[in-house]
Amino acid sequence: MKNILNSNLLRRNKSILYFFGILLSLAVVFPGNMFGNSLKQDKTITGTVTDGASNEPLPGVTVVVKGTTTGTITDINGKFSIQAMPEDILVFSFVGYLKEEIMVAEQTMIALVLAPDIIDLDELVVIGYGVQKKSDLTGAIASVSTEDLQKIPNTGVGSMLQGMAAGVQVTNNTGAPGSNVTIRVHGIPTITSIDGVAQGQPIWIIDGVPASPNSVSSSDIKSIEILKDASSAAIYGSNGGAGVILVTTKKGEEGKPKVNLNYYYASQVAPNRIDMATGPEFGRMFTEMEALRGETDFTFPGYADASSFDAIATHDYQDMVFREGMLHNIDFSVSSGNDRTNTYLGLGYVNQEGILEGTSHQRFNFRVNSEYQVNKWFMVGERISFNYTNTPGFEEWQYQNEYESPLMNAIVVHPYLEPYDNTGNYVPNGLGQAGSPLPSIELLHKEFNRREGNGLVFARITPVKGLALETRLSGSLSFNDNYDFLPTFSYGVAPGQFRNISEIYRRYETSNGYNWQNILTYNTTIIDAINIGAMVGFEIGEGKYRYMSGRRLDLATEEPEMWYFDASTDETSPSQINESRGGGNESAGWAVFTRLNLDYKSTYLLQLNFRRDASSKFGPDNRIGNFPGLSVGLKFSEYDFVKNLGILSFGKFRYGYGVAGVNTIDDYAFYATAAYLTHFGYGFDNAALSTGGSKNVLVDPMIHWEEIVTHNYGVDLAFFSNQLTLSVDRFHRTNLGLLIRETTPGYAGWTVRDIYQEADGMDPRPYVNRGNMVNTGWDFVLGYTTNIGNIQLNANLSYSYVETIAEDLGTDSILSEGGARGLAGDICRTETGYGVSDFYGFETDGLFTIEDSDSTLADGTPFITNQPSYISPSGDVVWAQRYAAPGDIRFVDTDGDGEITQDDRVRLGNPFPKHELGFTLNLTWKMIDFSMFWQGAFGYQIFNANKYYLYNNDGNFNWSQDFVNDHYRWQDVTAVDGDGNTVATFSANTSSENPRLDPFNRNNNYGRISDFYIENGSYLRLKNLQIGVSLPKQVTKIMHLEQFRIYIGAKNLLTITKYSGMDPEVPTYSVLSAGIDKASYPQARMYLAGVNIKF
Amino acid sequence: MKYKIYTSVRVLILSVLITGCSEDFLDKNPIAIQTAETFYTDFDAVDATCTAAYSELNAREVFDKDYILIAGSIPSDDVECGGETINDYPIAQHVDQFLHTLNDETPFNEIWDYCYKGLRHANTAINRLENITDIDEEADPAIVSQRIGEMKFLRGLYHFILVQVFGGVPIADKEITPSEFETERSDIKTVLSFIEGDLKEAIPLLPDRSQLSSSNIGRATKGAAQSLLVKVLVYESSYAENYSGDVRFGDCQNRWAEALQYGLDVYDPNNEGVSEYSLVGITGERYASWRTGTDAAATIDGFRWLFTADGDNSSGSIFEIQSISDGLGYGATHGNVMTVYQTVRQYRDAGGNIQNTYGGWSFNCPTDALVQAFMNSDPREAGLNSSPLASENLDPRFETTVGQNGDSILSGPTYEWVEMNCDNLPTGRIGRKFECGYDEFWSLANQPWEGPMNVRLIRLADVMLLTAEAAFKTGNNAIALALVNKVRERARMCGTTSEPAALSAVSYEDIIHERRLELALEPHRFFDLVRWGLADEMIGGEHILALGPNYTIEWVPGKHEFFPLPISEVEVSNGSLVQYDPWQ
Repeated sequence: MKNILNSNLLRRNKSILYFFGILLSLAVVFPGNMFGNSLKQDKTITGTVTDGASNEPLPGVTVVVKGTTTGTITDINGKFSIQAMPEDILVFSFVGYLKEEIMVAEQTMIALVLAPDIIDLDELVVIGYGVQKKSDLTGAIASVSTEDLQKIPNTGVGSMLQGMAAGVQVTNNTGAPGSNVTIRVHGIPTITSIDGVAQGQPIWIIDGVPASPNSVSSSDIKSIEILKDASSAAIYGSNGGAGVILVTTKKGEEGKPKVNLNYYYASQVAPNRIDMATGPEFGRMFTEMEALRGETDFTFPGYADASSFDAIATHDYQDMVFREGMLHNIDFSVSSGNDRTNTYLGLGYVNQEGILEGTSHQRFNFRVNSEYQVNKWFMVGERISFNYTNTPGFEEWQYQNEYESPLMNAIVVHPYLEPYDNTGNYVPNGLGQAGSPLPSIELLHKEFNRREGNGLVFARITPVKGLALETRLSGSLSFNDNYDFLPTFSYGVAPGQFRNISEIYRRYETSNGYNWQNILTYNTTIIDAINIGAMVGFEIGEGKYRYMSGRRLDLATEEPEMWYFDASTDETSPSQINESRGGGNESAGWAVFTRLNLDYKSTYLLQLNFRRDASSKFGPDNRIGNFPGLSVGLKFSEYDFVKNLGILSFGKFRYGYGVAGVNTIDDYAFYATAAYLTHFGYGFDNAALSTGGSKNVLVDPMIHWEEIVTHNYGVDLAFFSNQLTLSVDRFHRTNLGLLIRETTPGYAGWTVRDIYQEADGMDPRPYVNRGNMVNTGWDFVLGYTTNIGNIQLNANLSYSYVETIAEDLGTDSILSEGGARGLAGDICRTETGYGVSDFYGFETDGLFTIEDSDSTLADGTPFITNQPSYISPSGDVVWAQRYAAPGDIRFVDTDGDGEITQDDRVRLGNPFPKHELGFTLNLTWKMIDFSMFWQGAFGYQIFNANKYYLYNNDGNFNWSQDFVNDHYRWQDVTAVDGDGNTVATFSANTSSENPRLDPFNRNNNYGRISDFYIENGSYLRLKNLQIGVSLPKQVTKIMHLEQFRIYIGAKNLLTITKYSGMDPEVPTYSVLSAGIDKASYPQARMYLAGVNIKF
Repeated sequence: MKYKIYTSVRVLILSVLITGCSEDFLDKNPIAIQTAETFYTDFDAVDATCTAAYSELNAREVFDKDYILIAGSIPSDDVECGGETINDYPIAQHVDQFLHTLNDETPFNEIWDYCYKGLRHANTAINRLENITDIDEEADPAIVSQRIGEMKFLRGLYHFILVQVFGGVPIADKEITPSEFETERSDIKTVLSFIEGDLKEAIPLLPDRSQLSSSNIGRATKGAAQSLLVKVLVYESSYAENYSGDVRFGDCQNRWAEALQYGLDVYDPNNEGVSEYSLVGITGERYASWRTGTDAAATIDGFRWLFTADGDNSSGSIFEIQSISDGLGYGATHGNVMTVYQTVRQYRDAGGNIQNTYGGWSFNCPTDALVQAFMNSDPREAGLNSSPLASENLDPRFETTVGQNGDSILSGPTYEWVEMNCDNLPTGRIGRKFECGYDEFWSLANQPWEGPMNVRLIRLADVMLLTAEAAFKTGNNAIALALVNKVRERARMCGTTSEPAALSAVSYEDIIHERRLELALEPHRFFDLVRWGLADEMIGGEHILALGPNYTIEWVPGKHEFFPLPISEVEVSNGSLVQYDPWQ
């Protein structure tokens, strides 16, 4: 650098000095000869560079005399001045704009308009353990535009990816702030689960090393790449099977320190409610039910006659539990650098209230990235991040559990129930099973606190051109402190209505791990046509987890200062001993890997990968897994005849084959263990428990890697100077030897029906390698960029299709899971030859009507004779639905045997979307920018388990308004009081499509799993909308700012769906029992306003 | 330059060598838990597994609610299901109505699962007990052989419950490995013979009840094994009599004589002094109880006392599941949930208003048929009195068994004696044998499923009446009469009238009648009706009041005697487990 400056200074006139400071940052654009040119006869050329889109002057544009190190950059007014010879060519380049070359000739004044470069095919894309030119990629890799990403107000990196890349499905586990997401790359990655939670999530590689997505803040991200096929992911071998998400964080940009400040404020609301019966409607319906039950002196409590139903109060509990949630988000970063060092400092803070009372999320994050080019051949750097999150609220599973969900209670609680009595106490519900949701929310003192630090140091030695040795050592440490304080209260004696002793539960967890990589790369070009890139590396890592938890009772007072064990005044309860728990687990692995890239004239591309992995998750004989990958590419746009067509500016065909692995099972899954457990204890002579112990898991010691074999065919096309781009991928992925929990027969003595209700909370079923699964599908990405006058337009449409078949489940040919209150049996079935988690149950065919009956029972009830039947051995006619009356659901006797039996069950739908759509539109016009993002999922069903409550036949829960106002009634119903006076009449309604209200539940309309519960889940959602205004440069200049932008936006503004529940985005994180809606926490609608300042 | 290359390569190779080649690096041992090999190295560990074999008896709600209430009582003609509404516990309602389908598997798959879990522990223990003295020199051979006896008793008990509920089942006589997952059901005779073999081996190994130290109460005794053997032999004999030629039952034989012999070993009416057991209350003794409220001097009769937690492990009990209120909560507790299930929900407050929230869950509602049986001191069930409360000569067991409007219950927000309300119950009555005690209510117990009252699996009266059956069937009418009269005597001594009077002669109907009254609401009536071949007669055509006046039970012979195997179990067996024909 010193040489450059010296040589430049020798031959530059004083005007160059003006740019001295800025020149410091330009080392990178002066490649090649480091020693100055000889002096020449040259003239001074001046000019202005403007932005083709905004017509604003462009500062910072690099102007270089081609083939020399002579150069300058434009000043703040877009002006430049440079010395050149008439035969020289000036090269103008600026990040984000198309490069221009201008012959000097006789010109002394140049006014240049630079066109924005929409798609940069030469940009470098991060791949496993390295980077590659985008145009040279041979695997299926999706690059996510971080510019688009950062326009989406979100607090988690994972959920921001929703709809952003074709073939990458993201679903939020709940709508609660700080909630996790489930990401599926190219279909269902695997059906392995731990405690019912799907595994096989993509691994996150942040700055080259595995780390949790929580460790990075969206504003610190420079780029995200998703490796979708195994030819690219195989380099991550063991973990790459479910896809790899590569995140690169920002580093200091060269130049003077730059500050970026972004703040927004948002208000969130629940997008919709479920229409429930009002108090008067409920009172009438309840009275009708009592009349149907044969009750002759029923009056709705406190309301004597029909005219007074209107006096029954309506309390809207949905209104009470939902609120307008505020959100503050602030991101701040400082970046600076020169040719030797660069640093980036990022700080962020989010404070988000959930739309459900009592739920919120706070996050603070901090990051420092630095790099030091010590000398020509040695470079070191680090990435350090820390984040803290605080999430009060319920646990994720509670939002999905109908007995726990606060929303479920808010929907189905009886509307007349006073929320509080005169003394401010809650009121128990005397009439039904649904209690007020308020106690569970208002008495909740549960928090999840997480502190996480990640550090990475790396060094690169480049001893000779093309050869580099890089070592990267990273470590992570996280510490969780969760607590649940249970105060005393009392407004009744049923469970949940009182607690006469306070309780504190605390749990501390630590995780730490390290990863060390050493990578040797060599790149060279031989005979000017063959580019060779070779890489060989070694990686090793370990992870450790420890936890400790306890519970103590009867705290000295109930202040937060007393929510610690030492405040317990209870020294005798056995529970405090039994609730002292602690343990942990550890895992380790190492891998060697290598890659060879060959390309001939940048036209014929070949990539070979190989990785050998060893994992502690398997027994000594099964630890090693070998994961090869191969991909080829043909850039046919390099052929002259294609070039001559003039349409195609880029064209490439890709094929990739690869094998990746899955080992996301519990640690120690091959060890047969035995334990002393409270559950195994027994209280001989009714005394305290004697110690009991036994084997507690069944294992298959021979389990090994699950392998995922992928074939991927792709075409990348660009037309009209890259204005229009199209990528198409066809993938076919087979999982071999699925690692699943074997359904052990109860006969073996191991079966559990519900692990959460197991005393020791452990799933004792063995993991086995069993069966295969196939995902096939298509990805399409269409991009279009253009300038129309002053308007820059950028649109991106992605579509993906995926279908998953459980090809062979071996001896476990059927896996059934997923239940719901009131329904007998498992809802979801995964069976050899069919989809994963298909809904399985009875088909219905409308309602029986009065026309289906030609006889009556003794009590006058019409008896349905138009229904299947068979003749019993004793000669009697046995009817399929012998208790059915008009208005009951007709179940279909699919096998035609005259009975409704288990064998009549059929597949009713599948919870995983087959089609996924994403559409982004960005428009910029002068100072105004506009962006819009639509996301949609189609071709799937939802099992709306809420309907069991909304259409109930015993009045234990409030009814849906739809059911109350319209249900089948085959004759008039009259309710009378004890004196024989008519209280209410309900006239016959034989045209309704809703079932009748039958308090005797004779036909079991709702207890069967049937398509009564199945709904189309497809939706199209305006995920994001944003409009921003930037102050003109002239104004910002006066303010000494580089940019000042204010913006407003909305998230989830519009959802187009036929689904009747709150939110069609139903959690699917439990892969074998997905898509069952039990009043899940809906996604919020958000309105926001923010400001972005750069200087 | 070259030097640098060498350095780079050397660093790389070195890093591979340091870490990768170390085999230990990947050996991660489980934390805070032992492997099976390191666990079973001494007697204490095996003994803990023996305890685990008992522990499954109070797992979740299996052997209280599932077995006692749903499988054993609700399908019988003694009760209707009850609960708050017809939708309260739909599966229990379906079982009551005999409309249950393969879908209604949950309580039954739990019975299945937890019997086999208990069997797994028992088999694990037996395998290791047999050679434990080789491994652990300190193991006491006497205790080791006692434990083998206990495990064989439990193995018999779990299999017997499975037979009662499902009929023929697979026999679990060893630790089952994944290669043995697919298994067939044995016929009933084969399972009963297996149980018989186990019990006969257990009897000489087991101590008498009086030999158990107090901290070992609840372990299997010689008397428990003998009693269970009586049951096994009586069941086999009944099946042989009533289901001859039915393939489900295999080659069941008449075993009445052996049953009588083992029965008399437990209790011989002509030599009752040597028995380890006696009928509580037979001498008119009375007991202090929470039931007497604030009157500290007041007492209750022996039969009533038997059905309180205070009556746990009495001399009238042969084998009880030990229940404790341990504060561990739902799913984990070693208490029982049957008391809250079977206690009435509604009561009338001082103002006569019905209150809905301070009671139990109102399951197990006695039918008219049961009340009429009680009304009849003449065991031949003729001359029924339609107004039970009006009778002076009511069997004293009635009050302990049946509750109705006007009866008092300890309930309400402050747990005082209030009047129960049965108006909303289908039969207008509630069972009282398992009524919550003061410490079993929600606000006082840790949780409702933590009832401390033991589950009385085998009572002396039950064994005596089985012995009476065997005596009658073998022509030993005198023994049968003596046994039935003993049971009636105890009932009489618990009352204030001369009812039920001693019989002068005994018929088979007398024995059936006595079993019904003595054991009502306990898990016997349904299983008894099935083995007697009387289920069609007594249950078929029974009205289900909860469904309205027109609905009666349709009993399907050949189908309803046993519950279907859990459908999930059949599915996972890949065709090796087969339902009985009508359930297919």
